[in-house]
Amino acid sequence: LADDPRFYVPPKGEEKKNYRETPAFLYNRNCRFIEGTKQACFLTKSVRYDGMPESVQQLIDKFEVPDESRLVQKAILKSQIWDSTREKLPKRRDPEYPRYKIDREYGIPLEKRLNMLSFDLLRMADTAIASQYPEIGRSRRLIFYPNGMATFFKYSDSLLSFYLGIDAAITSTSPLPPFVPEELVESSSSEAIPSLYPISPTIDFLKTNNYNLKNSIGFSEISCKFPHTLILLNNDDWSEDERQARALVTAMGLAVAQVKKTYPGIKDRLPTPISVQVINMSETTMNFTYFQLNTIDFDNSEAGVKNFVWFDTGNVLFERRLPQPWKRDKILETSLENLDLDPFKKLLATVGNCAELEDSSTQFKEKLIEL
Amino acid sequence: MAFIKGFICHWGDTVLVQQRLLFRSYRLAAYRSRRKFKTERRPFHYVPKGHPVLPPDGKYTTEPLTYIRSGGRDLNGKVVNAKIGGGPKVNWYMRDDHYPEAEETQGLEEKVLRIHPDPIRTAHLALVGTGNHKRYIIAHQNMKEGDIIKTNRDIPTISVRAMEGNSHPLGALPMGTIVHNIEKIPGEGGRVCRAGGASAQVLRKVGDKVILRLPSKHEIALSFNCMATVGQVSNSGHDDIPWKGVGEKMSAGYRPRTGWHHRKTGYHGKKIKPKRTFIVKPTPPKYETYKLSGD
Repeated sequence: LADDPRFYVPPKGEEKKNYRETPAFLYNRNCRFIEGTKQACFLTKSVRYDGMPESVQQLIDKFEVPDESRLVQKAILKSQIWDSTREKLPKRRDPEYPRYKIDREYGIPLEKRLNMLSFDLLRMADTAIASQYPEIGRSRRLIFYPNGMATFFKYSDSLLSFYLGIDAAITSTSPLPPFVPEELVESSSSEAIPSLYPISPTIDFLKTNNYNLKNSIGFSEISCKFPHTLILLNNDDWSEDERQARALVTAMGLAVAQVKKTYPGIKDRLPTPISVQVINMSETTMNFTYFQLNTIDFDNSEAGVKNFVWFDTGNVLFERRLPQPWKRDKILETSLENLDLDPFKKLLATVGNCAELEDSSTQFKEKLIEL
Repeated sequence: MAFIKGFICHWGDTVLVQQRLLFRSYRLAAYRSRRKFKTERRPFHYVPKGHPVLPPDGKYTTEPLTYIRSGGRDLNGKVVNAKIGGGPKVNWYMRDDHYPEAEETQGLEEKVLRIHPDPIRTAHLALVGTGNHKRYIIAHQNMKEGDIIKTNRDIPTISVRAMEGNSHPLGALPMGTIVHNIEKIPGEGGRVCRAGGASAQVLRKVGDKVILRLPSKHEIALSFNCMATVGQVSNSGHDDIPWKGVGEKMSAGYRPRTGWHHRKTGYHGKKIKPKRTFIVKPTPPKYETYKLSGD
């Protein structure tokens, strides 16, 4: 009778592993914020700006790729049409005519399309920057699917633990300088963050009694241990607002993990702010976030110095029109339209941020070694 | 193992409790789902359209659950109602009709986050949250995203100004208010007026009770402590849209009836007889009781 599956009773929380008495709130890559960026800004105590910071906007036309449009088109066609995988794609219902049953299609799955396009564009960006500053190859690393990033801290009488999922990361030997000088950081204590009453920002976290607390940067044992940019691939059908909120929280988590290692025991304002960049890639659009961490005190949302966030959403590379066979024009195949090269230039600017400093610092170090 | 034989008895129009034949099939999911379904006193050919698969924890979740259609079949697997069958696969959302506990004089405030139609029910669903808890409730007629809703359990001497969406006990509402999701027994959860477009009206107060007029024009007397929300349920015009034909009904889960002539009874036709007048009987006095110890 003990092995009969008809009378199976699942184990309770006390019998599962890692049981603790005090509950905690867990964050995951699948946590969908219901209020979007407003909820994320309240959690991370950050002031919101739209657009790119000035230090990055000056670098837009600095880096060039020869035959830009031809190479970008080649990367797009390679990932969408030329690849030879043939798998059954998921069923599709169009909201315009939901009762029409569309035939099953065979083609390239979403994961592969995303990976091919995004990593091709990254490779092109790397070559463009290395043509001007060749010493970057020794001061930077590109890691695919890093593992083990996690933090935890207390937030108003409750424990939060973050387990971050990142698809690719660029790390460097020297940390990024702050986007904004120190005078604006001190004046930010007077600005206000919009409140979320009666909701708390941990409404979408999972509350459990079985958890493990961990604080680590995934790539701390190599020479390049400061994060420069993070790349997230959006494999879901979320809105742009929710994707940007996820990017903010991963940037915050990684910065806090770094702070706990370098300044253990700190509670309030940091001596030097930490900055992280995040790129959000989906099939056709790219989003950028730039985060600067000034304090760790997330409990008081009114008093004290605040962090900064810049959001740049909705940069559409190309449009993808899906087939609608009930129409008279007979749109029977997917078509790609309206190529726009502006988001690619923004990508070059973010990846090439502070390339001069790294180039000069590596040259300086090598000259010291020669002497 | 002991086999318990099942029996079916019919007296008039009611069906007593049916006990199913045990171990009819060993398929696990079907077995579990059938064990959880019990019949109560119902009319003869009654079978629900389906039932959901509840989580094994028994806790409340906002996630969509699967909904298994009955197909007109009874617990014993035979067709009892031949006019039910087919229909699309839908998600079933757990709707919370219970009223939460609130502090005194201050109440509980909740914010409306999302509104979307329910694939099975006629009323719309609203996602609502406070603190760290989210739940689904019935959406009233003029609900919008971003509204704030209050629940109060106080009964002051002067009646409260009734705002749409707020929930109060019946003793605190003024006469003439329109109300839905009413409790019959305080603390049990809303039972009355939950379908699309339904609403009840508060008529008068007599002694310890409040008299309401229901959508069937019956009158009912309930205690002061029963909770209700102010307003009319959403999606009021869902009855007025006619069906386009048999095909649309079949794709929704209704099978056609036979063309053979059936005898019409007193159940068919328009109801002309007026309702009985409503009389509130006073509550009988409570006598003091003493317990005698047996020596």
